[in-house]
Amino acid sequence: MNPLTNVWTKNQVGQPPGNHGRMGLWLNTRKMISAAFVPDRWQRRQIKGWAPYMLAIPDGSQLFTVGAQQTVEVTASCPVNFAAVGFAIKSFGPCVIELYDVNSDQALINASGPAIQISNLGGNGKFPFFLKRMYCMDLGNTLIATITDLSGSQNSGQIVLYGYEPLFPGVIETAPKQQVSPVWPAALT
Amino acid sequence: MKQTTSPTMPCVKCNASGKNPRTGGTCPVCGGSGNMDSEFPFPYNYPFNMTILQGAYQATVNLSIPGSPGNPSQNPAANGQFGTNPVVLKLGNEGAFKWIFRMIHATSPDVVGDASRFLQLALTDLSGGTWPFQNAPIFADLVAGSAQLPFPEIEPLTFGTNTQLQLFGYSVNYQGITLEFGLGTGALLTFTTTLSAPILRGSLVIYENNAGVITNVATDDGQGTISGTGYAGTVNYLTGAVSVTGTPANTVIVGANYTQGCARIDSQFLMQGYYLRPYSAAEQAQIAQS
Repeated sequence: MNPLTNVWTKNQVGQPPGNHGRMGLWLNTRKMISAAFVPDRWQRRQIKGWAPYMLAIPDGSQLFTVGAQQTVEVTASCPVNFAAVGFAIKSFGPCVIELYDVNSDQALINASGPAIQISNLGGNGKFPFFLKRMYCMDLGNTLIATITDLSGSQNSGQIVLYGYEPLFPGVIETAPKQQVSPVWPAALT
Repeated sequence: MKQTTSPTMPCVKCNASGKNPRTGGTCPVCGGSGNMDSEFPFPYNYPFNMTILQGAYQATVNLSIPGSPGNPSQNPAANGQFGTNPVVLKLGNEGAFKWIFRMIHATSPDVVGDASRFLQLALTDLSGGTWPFQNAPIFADLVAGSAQLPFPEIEPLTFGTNTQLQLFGYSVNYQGITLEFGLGTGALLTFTTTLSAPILRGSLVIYENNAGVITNVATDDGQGTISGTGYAGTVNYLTGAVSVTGTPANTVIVGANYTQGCARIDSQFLMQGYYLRPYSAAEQAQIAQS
């Protein structure tokens, strides 16, 4: 195909780039999308070249486990500088959740109101839930999730933050034209 | 928020700032076009074929699923019957690979349909050290989607040539589940119940509860047969249906203790993206003529 007319390559040969960036941006159910459903490109350019990273809560085990009608508190300490772009959840039963960011001393769910149903917090691999703006965390930042089971039996699951971390050694010198010195978007925190 | 500064972005060649994204203008530092001017992307797929076998079933080839993905290049020692765990994959050396989508396909002989909810994955880059993509193993159905509903990278990652990736798989088991489903009368009785499927092969224990005194009386053999002291029966690992026949004493409760999980999971984690191939001479000529 002619690189001048191929939508994937025309940006490389002198034409003004399109709204969706060089290779496009997709959501699975919306295909090429607008910034209404993900961080816009002014945000995304600050994580350009960063590596995907997923922050699981809890970080010390495979799953959280909470007994019937019980409450458990689980944590995750961020091992990298991290820009979260979405939430995903896995729960094998009904439960509610509160989420708290220790370093910024900020509740991420209305602290003075009821906890939210865990299924309202995030999506999954097929239907990911992305944030409109990135949420940035420094290395060592701790998130606390307080989970209360609503069923009559033991419940298990996992909370995952999709995101990106600064460039890692795998995208190394051998990668042609790969940027090598990303800038942490401090202004966005 | 309104953009108040001139729209600039890092040059994809040298990462210097100052390139105007609207015009694709010249990078003020490297002097190049600031564009990926010599590469033509074409779709490419990197699959990781993985098989997880638990406990006594690590050598039980007859648990295989017809049509399950073979992976001879990654696991020649196993005659290509199934993938390994972990899987180490080395990317090609002809050009960079831009990772766009993630897909997962996971099946198990003990699960109807998608088995990815019993599988956790951990992906690590082994190039230049060990660099994980997550802080803990994450459920496969949170990590990736399907071809119909793929998980998109918000900001695609470009891997260099010869990058080595390692994918670890972890089965998810829910241990210590109990259900009491029968009451003895002193006569020969057959008890039936349905446990939470899938039942991990070899984990089922039938017990008697005599006023709080628990006595294990039978176990399953991993092939669907329950046998033990005074008890016999069958178990369907796929549906959780259990049928046991025995003669518990009057008022003795009959129950089951088991682990929910899969003895075997076959999966394929797929990195879909674009291989950045240099322009051919013909393509370069087309560009030059424009």
